[in-house]
This record gives sequence, C-alpha cells and structure tokens, in this order.
Amino acid sequence: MSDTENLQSLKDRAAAIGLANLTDKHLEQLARATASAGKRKERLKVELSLADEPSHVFSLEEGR
Amino acid sequence: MTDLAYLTIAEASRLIRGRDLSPVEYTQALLDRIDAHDSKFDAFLRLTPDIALRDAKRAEAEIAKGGYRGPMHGVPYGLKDIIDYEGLPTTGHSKILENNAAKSDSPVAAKLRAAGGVFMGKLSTHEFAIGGPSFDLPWPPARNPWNRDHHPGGSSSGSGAALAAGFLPAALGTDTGGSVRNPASMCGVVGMKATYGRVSRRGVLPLSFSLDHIGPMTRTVEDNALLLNVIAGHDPGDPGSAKIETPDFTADLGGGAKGLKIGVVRHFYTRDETPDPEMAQGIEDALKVLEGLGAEIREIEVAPLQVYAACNRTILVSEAYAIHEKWLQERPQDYGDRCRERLMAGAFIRAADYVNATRMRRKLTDRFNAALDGLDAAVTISSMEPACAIGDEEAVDRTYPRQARAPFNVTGGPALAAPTGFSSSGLPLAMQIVGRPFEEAALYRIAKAYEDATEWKDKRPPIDD
Repeated sequence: MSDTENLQSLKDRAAAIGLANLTDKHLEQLARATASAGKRKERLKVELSLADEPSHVFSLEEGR
Repeated sequence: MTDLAYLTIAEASRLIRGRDLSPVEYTQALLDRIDAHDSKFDAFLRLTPDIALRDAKRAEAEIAKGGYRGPMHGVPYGLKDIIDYEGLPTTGHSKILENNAAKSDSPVAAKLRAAGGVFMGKLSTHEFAIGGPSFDLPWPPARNPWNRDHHPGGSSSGSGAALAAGFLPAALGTDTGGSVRNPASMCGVVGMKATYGRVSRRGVLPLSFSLDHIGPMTRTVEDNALLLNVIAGHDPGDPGSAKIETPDFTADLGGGAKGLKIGVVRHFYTRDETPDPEMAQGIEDALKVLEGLGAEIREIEVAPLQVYAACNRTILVSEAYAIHEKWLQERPQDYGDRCRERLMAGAFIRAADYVNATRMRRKLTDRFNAALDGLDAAVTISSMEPACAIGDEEAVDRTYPRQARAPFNVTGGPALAAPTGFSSSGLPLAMQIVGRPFEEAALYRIAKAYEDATEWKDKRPPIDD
C-alpha cells in the first residue's frame, strides 16, 4: 500500500470517529500517536484470570 | 532580598506570627523579584499583584488583631493553571480555554484562602497537563532557573520554576503520570503526590479521572508537610475522595531514619532502563546516607517499569481522549502540536484494551503493596537524567517514556520527589520515596532525615549573580 493510500485509509478511519477536521499534518500526528499506543499495548503483558476485575469496580453504601 | 526570596513556609510563618515580618512587605518583595526575573523563566502565566496585596493586607490586619490562622497565614502561594480560582480564567495553558473564567474556587484553592494564604497568580503548565514544553501556545513554556536553556520538567513546570527562582515558597501542581514529581526533580525542590483520594480533585481540569492527583510543591520537606496539612481532606463532591481522617503530616518529621526499614526498587534504573550515571549515583549515595542514619536498606522487586508505564499510559490516553474528544473533533487546530499528538494516542484504543489495563492496574497495585510488606517505604529513581535542553525536541520526547513516576499513579500510593544533589553541569538530581496508601507521613520522615543530613536545600540557582 502506498503512503497516499495509507493516509487516505487513516483519514477515513479518523472521519468515522468524528475526527473529520484533521489536516494532513494532524493525520501524520495521529499515525505516530496510534503507532506508539500500539507499541505500549505490546509491553502491557500481565496474566489475567476471569476473576481479575477492573480497578474502578466500586462498592455502594446502604441507602446511596 | 535573597533572604526573603528563599524563606521557607516554616520560617516565614514564625516571623509573621511573631510580627517580625509584614505579609505586605514580604509579598511586595516577592512581586518585585518576579517583576525583575520572571521574563527569563516564564513561571507565571498570570500574575495577580492586586489580589496578592489585598490578601497580604487582610492577613496583616487579622494577625495584628490576634486572629492568626496557621502556617499559611500571610504566606504567598501559586496555583498551576488547571486549578480553579474564582473569577480568574483556568486556561490549561491552552487557546481552547483562553477565556474560561472559574465560577468558584476549587476546594484546594478554598482551603488555601481559608488558611489565609496570599494568592500570587496562576503558574505555567504543559497544555492541559500533557502537551509540553511547547512554543506554539498563547503563552511561552516555563524555563529552568538552574539553567534557562533547560526544561524545568512538567507538566507543573511553572510551579517548579517559581519555587526554584525564589518567587514563592508554596505552589500546587497536579500529577497524572508524574507531573508534580518531574518538575520537583528537575528544579531541585520537593514534590508530593499524596495517595489518590487524599486531596480533592474537584475544580481542577481533568486529564485522567482515575490517575489525577493534586500535590504540594515546596523547597523543603517540612514545608511540603505543612502545605499538605492545608489541602488534604475528604470532599464529598469528589467521587474519588477517600473518607479518611487527615493526620498532622508534620508529626513524625523529627523521627529520624534510625530503625526504619526502607526498600529500594533498583531494577527500575539498573535493569529496566539505563539512567544517567550521575542520577543513579545520587540515589545510591542517598541510600548510603540513610543507612548511615540507621535505616535498614533492602532491595525489592516489582513488575518491570515498562509494564507500569504502559498501564499508566493506556489508561491515561483513553480517559484523556474521552475528555477531549469533542474539541479534537471541532477545533483540532487550536491545540499545540505536542498536546494534540499526545491526546490523539487515545483515538483508536479498543475498549477491551482499556478495560484490561484497569484489570492489570489492580494486579500491579497488589504486587507493589505486597513488595512493601515489612517495610516503612521504598526509594527509587524519579527521572533517568537531569533536565534536558528545552529546545531539544527529541531529548524531550525521549525523556517522558523513560521516567519512573508513572508506577505510583498506577498504584495510587504516595510518592515524593526530593533533591539528591547536582550533576557536574549544575543541574538538580533527585530520588523518589514511595509508600503504602495513606502513609505519607513515613515518606516525609525519611525525606526529612535525609534532607537534614545533606546540604542540598541551601543551594540556590544562579539568578541573582
């Protein structure tokens, strides 16, 4: 895929989530930011079991 | 003037209470100093001399009538410009919120007002506490008083710079991935990220709801404890606020290090990352000082730094993107380049990845707290290197993913940055002291014992030369 096609593909993906006003410079930034987020995901390796709940699961108080 | 400029809160409050120092003269002296020097450092985004002198006159009159309120009465302070102060814009250092007037005080500002503090103004930040240092915003970035060609750290950049420059003795910063402790480390001052829930986050522009903290920044450990005493406390209006009593954080300051058991998370800076040798040596030397004072040092192992960093950043950019989505859709051109790029990292993170990061957060927190079993606290590195050149874009971008502060936003436990000396180039070095939830007093005790045994707090940047 060419750089132009990649940029168009990213532009379409961005527009689909409402980022329709990005310039080419902004899209380059989005591409870099998305790539670095992907690298971080690769480093985030902690074994999880079904019982491991999110940190923000909360408890309620009586009457509230 | 230098003497007044570098008074600590403790010293100033003793003088003010004894009516040996006029809050009005003290405030005017600091305003004169800011007027003379801040054009070099841009610590203040908005200086408010009228408010400062009004507060100082009021404090002076109250104290003259016997109405002394406590250690902040008549003492100047500043707020990072993401913290609401009634009637003033809270800009986040951004064009987006250039005219965003605060309708009321944030609880931390209200507490400082009630304590009789003298409000000096709003301090520079990275845009929305994430995008900086940047030169494409309505205000310039703050610079490091130890060398103005260097970054003061961020995002609470102006808070760190103002303290180091002797513009005020007390400032508040905020910390989502290390933004109180980074400028503290780079500017040679003390910064505390207290336990999540210890200080109200209400009335502060959010970056990441589950990681944001408000923290005191000062030039000494005692001052930091005094300032935390003022701003801590349960706030029913903050869903993250802890219903827990606020102790006197100064109570254990004189306890010394003898008999304390202190862990060291050495692998953060020996195996996980390669630090600047002087920064690492500063921590090893600090550990020797603590050992010499009678502490027992024990190496501990937690998850690799990169895992904590990835967990922090995944949660941070996901929550930040949710907060900024509408503006990124409608006004992307109104962000600075660095802020826009950092925020857009959250655009395509999958819901499952965010949720799994929060699940991992719980496990990482449990593992860290288990590693502290039998210990009073632990020491580790804060930044891997001293402040980089502010105009070196690559160096700035390289610095952030390598720091060791984000783990303690993940765990939510207290973490304090304190000076450990200076590099051969004259830039501050620092360590972190970290602990179990709500045990800030243990961190202050260790930091004070070390501070008393060293001379770093008496060093001044060369701005009066």
